[in-house]
Amino acid sequence: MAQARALSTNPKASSGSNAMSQRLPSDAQAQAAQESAAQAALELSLVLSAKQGDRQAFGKLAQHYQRQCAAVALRLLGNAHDAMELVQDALVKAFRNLEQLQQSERFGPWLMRIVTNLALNYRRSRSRRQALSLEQSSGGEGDEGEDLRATLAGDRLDAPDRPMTSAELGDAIERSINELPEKQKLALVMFAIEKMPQKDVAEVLECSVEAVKWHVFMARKQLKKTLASYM
Amino acid sequence: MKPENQHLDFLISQYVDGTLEGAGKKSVEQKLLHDPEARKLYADHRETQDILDDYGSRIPMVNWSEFDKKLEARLEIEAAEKQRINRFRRRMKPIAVAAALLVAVSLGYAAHALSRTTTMSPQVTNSSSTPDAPRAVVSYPEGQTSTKASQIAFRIDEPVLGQAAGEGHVDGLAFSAPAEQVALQALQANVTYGVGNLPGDMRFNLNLNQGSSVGSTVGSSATPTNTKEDPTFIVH
Repeated sequence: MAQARALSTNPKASSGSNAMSQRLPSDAQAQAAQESAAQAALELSLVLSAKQGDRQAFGKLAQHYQRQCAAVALRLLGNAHDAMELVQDALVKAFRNLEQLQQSERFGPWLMRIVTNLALNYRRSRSRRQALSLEQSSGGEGDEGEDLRATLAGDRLDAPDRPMTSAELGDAIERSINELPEKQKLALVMFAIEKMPQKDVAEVLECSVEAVKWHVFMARKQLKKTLASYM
Repeated sequence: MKPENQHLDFLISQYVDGTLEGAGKKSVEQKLLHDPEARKLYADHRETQDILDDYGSRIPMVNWSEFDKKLEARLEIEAAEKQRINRFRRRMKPIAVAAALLVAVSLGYAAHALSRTTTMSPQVTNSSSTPDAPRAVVSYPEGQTSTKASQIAFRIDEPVLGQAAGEGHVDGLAFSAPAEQVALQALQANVTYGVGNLPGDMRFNLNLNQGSSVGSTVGSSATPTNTKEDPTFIVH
């Protein structure tokens, strides 16, 4: 498909094979900071235009953020179709309520908060629906409902006897992430996976940057425990 | 894990994320050089983060062109709806302003009227000025025994009030009570208390104006005008 493009918004997205390396400050960062400032100014002008009803300006903003939103939604929902629908809803909601954005220069975190709120609500309602359908299917069908429940609960994670495929590891990571407490999950997805700035993550989570660091730390520790048998 | 190790673990986590700076960063690097435990913690965080980076790089292909088209269509509908709402708001604005003004004026008028009636102290008009004007009859229920002003109930006869209201003036109050049971002093006190607590419109109908109190008026000039069994006190 010619028009299909990857979701990635992560400039790094490396395999991380250089064990002791980390993101060190360099001279190139000064230039990056300048570019970032220019980008911020452009974004601010787009937001102000969109606030005055300029739909094209909003379209440009949407194009700028939709990949990041989709990536986060995908990590939270685990389903590309649902994630894309959710991002559409989030962008329409943002367009509808743009007047409510007080700090025009913080459009990105504001939009991401809409995405994460919608995703969490969607997950909650989906869990309720699944629980309801499991209740219905277990009634009178013997052990089938029980099997399905066990499968959904991820009991395969306990004892893999064969090497995992990449997809299976992905599923295992997804399940482990979904078992994390809400804030840890969001911090991990937005910062450690999607590489959003900690300040923005803090704004989305409505907490301090230090708290974000702590959530990421705790989430990674928990993930290390859960995925121990695959590492 | 010891508390100091947990602190080191947290610092190493930040080091892996590249968010540690200054003295903290230097201290972690020193630890990594000399402390095998620190190197183990680093390796754990690094390994988990590498898995997450790998997971983050595995992403489905998305038809963004179709996504953009669909979004554009939805935004168009949304923009039309926004315009419709804005037009409605623009049209409703003058009506809303007029309604708000009307409410404000009504409230102001009501507050003004209320303040006028509540500041009035009761006074009974002088009967000599209008000798033929009707009198409102203040009557006491049968069996009234108490002489305490606060415990004596009295009633102002409504038909008379109605008549008085029609004419816009009441020439004093007429009291009706068994003489043995209700003392004159109690009557005076009760009327002072009772008329003072009359609703504003009743006082208006009785033509009570600012000035002297009811008690003194009654006390100075109330006289029995009827039989012993059913005396009537006229206020002048």
